[in-house]
Amino acid sequence: QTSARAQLSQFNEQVQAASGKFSQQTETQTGETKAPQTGDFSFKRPGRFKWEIIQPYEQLIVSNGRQVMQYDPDLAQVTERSVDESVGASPAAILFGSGELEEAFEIQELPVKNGVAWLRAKPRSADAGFQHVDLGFKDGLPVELKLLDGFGQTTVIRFESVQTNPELPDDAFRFVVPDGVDHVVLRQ
Amino acid sequence: CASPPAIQGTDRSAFSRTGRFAVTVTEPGTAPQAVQGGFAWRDSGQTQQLDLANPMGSVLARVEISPARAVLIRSDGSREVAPDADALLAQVVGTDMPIRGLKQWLQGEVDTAAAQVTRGENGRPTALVSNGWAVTLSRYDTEGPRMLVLERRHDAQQVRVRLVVDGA
Repeated sequence: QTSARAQLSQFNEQVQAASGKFSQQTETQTGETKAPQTGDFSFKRPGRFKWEIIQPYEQLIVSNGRQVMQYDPDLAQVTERSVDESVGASPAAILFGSGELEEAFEIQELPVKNGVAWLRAKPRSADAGFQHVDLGFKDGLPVELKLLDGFGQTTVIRFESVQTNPELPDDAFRFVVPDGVDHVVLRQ
Repeated sequence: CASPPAIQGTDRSAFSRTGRFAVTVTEPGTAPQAVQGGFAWRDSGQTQQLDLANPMGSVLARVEISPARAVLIRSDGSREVAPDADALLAQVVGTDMPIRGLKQWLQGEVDTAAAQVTRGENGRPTALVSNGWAVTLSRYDTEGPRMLVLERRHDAQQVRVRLVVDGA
């Protein structure tokens, strides 16, 4: 079983694009959980990704490699920020963002568990909003992500039916702001 | 984004709601501010707790409110105490928020400062004005509204807050 770090660099080099499904669930310290969110993701290097929650509500995070747009139809708001400020905002930014993981995180290998090789990434910046994120790899692909926040809550994200290097048109990562919503461009 | 799971506690009479929120603050001459995230609210009568999370469900800040004071705890563990929660929240979402009003509105009830109250056929409030906030409450279930929109215009500054409830 090659190490998670080796599989990560193999993933970064060989998988220029991918698409698939995810399920995301957060658990408190005492084990309470809520209905998971499920949806579709896709990415195309460098830095373009789409993270679309479909159930139990709709929410979309799209990056064209320069700006990250987050749209919630219920909340009628689109926030837009530059890519580098969004590393903590979505798992997609961690796995598929333009920066190298090592730049934003300290990486440490963890033991293999039932066929999945794990690494732990600790954010270098203090205000990332979480303590660390564990990435699980199998056959060269990310299969699971576990993120521990500052209040002992863990968000687990599982990736399913991942297709590598699919044909993705560039405008797959273009987002047109619908009318009637607040569109706020955030400048730090 | 993911709202943090409901905050569980032994007290069964607690009222708890989880969902998503968006805040937009616009003021001529300054860059607009916007925050979007998940929330978990738990009200056990005497004390309340509000968790605010980022799109991945990681709690970025927790506000614990008791009659005498409010405490803001950030994800890095730093804490701050203030007489009430409204000002503390300004540090997290960029604007003060009417927490005492929200405590009632989330349960579909009118707060003491409310005026110009409009009620729906179920007798529950659907619109009101309170301390400069124009509030609309909709998508009621048995517990209360599942959609709350708060708007306030203060000289040139305009604040819009939208809360959508996804679960208990």
